[in-house]
Amino acid sequence: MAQLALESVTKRYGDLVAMNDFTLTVRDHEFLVLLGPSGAGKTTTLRTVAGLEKPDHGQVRIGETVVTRMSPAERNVAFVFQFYALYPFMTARENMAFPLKANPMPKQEIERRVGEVAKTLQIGHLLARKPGQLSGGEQQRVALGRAMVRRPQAFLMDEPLTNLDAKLRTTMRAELKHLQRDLGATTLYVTHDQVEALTMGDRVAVLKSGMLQQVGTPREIYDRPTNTFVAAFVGHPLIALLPCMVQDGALALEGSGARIPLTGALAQVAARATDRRVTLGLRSEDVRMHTEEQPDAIRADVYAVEPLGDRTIYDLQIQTAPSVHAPGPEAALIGGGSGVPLGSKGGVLLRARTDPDYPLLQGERVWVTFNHERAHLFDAGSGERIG
Amino acid sequence: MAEVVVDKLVKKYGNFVAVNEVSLQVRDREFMVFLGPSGCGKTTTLRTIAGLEEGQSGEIYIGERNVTTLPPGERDIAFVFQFYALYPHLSVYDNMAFPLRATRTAQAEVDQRVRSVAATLHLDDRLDRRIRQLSAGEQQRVALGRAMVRQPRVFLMDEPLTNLDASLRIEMRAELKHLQHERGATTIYVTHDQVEALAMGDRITVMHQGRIQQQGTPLEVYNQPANVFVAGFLGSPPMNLMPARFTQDAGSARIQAGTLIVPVADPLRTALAAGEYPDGLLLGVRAEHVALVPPSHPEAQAATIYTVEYLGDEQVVELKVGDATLRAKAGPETVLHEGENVHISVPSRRIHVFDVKSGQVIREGAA
Repeated sequence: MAQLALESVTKRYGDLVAMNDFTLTVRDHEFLVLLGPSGAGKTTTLRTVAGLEKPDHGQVRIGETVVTRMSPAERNVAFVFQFYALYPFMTARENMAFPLKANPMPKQEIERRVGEVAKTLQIGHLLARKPGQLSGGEQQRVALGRAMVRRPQAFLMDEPLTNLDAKLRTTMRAELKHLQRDLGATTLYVTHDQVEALTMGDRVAVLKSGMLQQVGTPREIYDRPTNTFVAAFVGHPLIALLPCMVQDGALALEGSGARIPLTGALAQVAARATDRRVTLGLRSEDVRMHTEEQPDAIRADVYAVEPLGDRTIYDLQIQTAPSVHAPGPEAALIGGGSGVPLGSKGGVLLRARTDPDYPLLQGERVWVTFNHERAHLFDAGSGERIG
Repeated sequence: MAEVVVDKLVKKYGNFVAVNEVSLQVRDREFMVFLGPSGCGKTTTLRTIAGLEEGQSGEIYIGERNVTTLPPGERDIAFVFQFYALYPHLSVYDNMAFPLRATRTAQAEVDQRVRSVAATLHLDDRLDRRIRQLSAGEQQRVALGRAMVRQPRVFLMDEPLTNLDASLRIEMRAELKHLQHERGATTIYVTHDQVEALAMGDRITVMHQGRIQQQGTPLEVYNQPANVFVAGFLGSPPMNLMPARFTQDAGSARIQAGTLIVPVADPLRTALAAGEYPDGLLLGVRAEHVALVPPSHPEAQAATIYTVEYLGDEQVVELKVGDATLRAKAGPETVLHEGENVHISVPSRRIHVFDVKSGQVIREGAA
């Protein structure tokens, strides 16, 4: 296996910039996930590495070799589309041997390679079966085996688990990751599913509109998102993004009377951002509810209660201060566009995660505090992280 | 609003029994979810309540009325399919007025109802907008509003959120639940998504192969599954289920699944000892109840990490315990590696034991 590198790659389709100056390395043996919504440039990136697209600028490297001008076949990477794209009328052995028959290879060599790969994937006993006689996990192994017999330098995978039902997808996800680790296979994997990205990737590259937003380990992406887009795209349930003004080392929550003095690292950030408009990002597990009035807390009403068995998610609607006029159409636009959900009454929603049997009901009043060590601050204009 | 009663409903398609003697009651103002995999009979039951299908036997009541033979239009129900089935070129007002105009309601009455429902849904300042100018949340409220203007006694909803992307679906789910509670509207909601069922339902009816498997609040169904099907259908990840044996001697009793051993005390011990299980037992335990513990823990048992899935706010760890595979949950901070040897404990009070032959849970003291 080998390292893959994109060096200042730009790819345009007419006026559309599908990849804007991408520099990205997939290390040898690494599982790197390209994550983003449709139109972000994920698939274009994958196809550029495979040689199915030619970049307008920049270079592609596989190992030490610059492959920018090489044909797909010369690059020796294996493109795995959806698993299950096996030929149903062929046995597992025939499916795996298939790619080797395209270029003349002695029959003995084909058999040797299929045998070797089957041994690695522990599917030797399944070779005589047809896909219909295999479980989902076994089919996945055969599909991978078919890619492996060519001894590729790297695997490129484009949403391979998308069409599976939820339960099978969860199983396949764990299985695929386990195999990738076992094989030490350099893998570039495309998905729009943030759960797949967090669970499978050694590192995740988040893309939006042809721009790389952030590259990091799942923990870095989740704990220190570089901007509001990454913060809202990754994590379940959606992070709350609350518009605030920094005033005298405190956050004044817009549309609410709440004024929250900041502590720790956040206080230092606030000190540098006096009189700036910022966005406070709060994940549900960092939010605490209190049934008694608290100083410096955000007053909210329970908007909906969602028991999920192992936890309960509380949707809270922040109380609008009487002195502040209710959010107008601009607020609705925020709700539609930037990941700030609004309740039907127009107030901003945030969410709190609790134990499963937390006793509050819809309509009750709460006071909300949060873990300052884990809160996120972004510039309101640019959306970039400031602390 | 009104309660809905289904009494011994049977619906067959040729030899296929889609709904097999289903009886249930949806209380006035309740949010009831029908949950199950495709083919379980949930949509057929809903459509029979709506009058879009007719059962071979059984009765349907809405409020005090037996509606079994009434056409859909006379049942006082509103069937909400997928949201977003709105007319994009029409205004919010015209979309909401549409069903009333179709039944030739007087213009003054149409206007009064549309404005009153719009006020409830906080759409009063959006009435002149076209659908495509609205956010997704607003569109959902318009779709609901269009159902509400008819003043139905019951709302019937068939997977209305299915085609939305994941984050919008979560947002809509809370919004819909909020509105339903606020209005106190009797609602029957069909889904195959167990998370949606838990999050939204006041109660859940779990169906499988045309039969009701269990009925209860989300926490009842999650914490006390009546059978193997319900145990395996709910939860992310679903409950761990392992073939197991029950053994006891003078001093103690235990359930053993491969090398995993969980002590069993009364009253479960007595219940287990009283029964016969020709096809064996299944031991069930939810991932959040499998604890990673230090080796010095009194109930520590050796396990090996097979995969680790980091989810941001928690981790799901797949473990091998002897031949058995078991999923556990861990906090996000713990750094865990594939292949690492760890220790786990499964608390006795958190286990569920099922009879393989019947699939039923073995209830403490029920034997």
